Amino acid sequence: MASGHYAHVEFVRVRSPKEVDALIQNLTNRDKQA
Amino acid sequence: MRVNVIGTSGSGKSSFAKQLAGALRIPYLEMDRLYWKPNWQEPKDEEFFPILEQALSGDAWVLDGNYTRTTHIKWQRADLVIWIDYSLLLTVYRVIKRSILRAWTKQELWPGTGNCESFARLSPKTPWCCGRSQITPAIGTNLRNSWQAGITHTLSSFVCVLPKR
Repeated sequence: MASGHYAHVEFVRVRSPKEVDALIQNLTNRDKQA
Repeated sequence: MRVNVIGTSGSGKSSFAKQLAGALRIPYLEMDRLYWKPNWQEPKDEEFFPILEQALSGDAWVLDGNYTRTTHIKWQRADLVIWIDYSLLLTVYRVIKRSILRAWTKQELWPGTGNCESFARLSPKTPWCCGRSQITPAIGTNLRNSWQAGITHTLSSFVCVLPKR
């Protein structure tokens, strides 16, 4: 979805509080791997 | 990781941003705290933008806030944008509950500013520019976002089904 000046940016849409824990876990794992 | 958490008032972006920053062990930055001066005075962009740029000069942060006129600063540095987009009902419930609680406790919103929520400011008739009521904007932004997201989704679906020439 990102384009132009913000092509480097990843966008995530959170639709429910139920998605929060999984997203944070996902990002934490990604951060550890980086 | 440099993350900007966006969403309408009451969406829970601050709670989420703090939780994420804690999990990643990186600084949590609140745009409202960077922006507001005592007595709800607003800085001019020439004053605010350098403050924001300085705050975002670090290698890792979770930035909580919209302020769309600063997108060119925020997203130039961010590598992830998270949009908290819960239902209108949940958002309105949260913003009303939070506003009443803040008005009741007279909690100072950002240290050193003296800025507090008040019942006078909770009125839907209170103009955003004067009273800082967050209820009306919460509804308006949520509806606008939902409408835009719906339009975007519809258009992208339409484009996807177009036959290639």
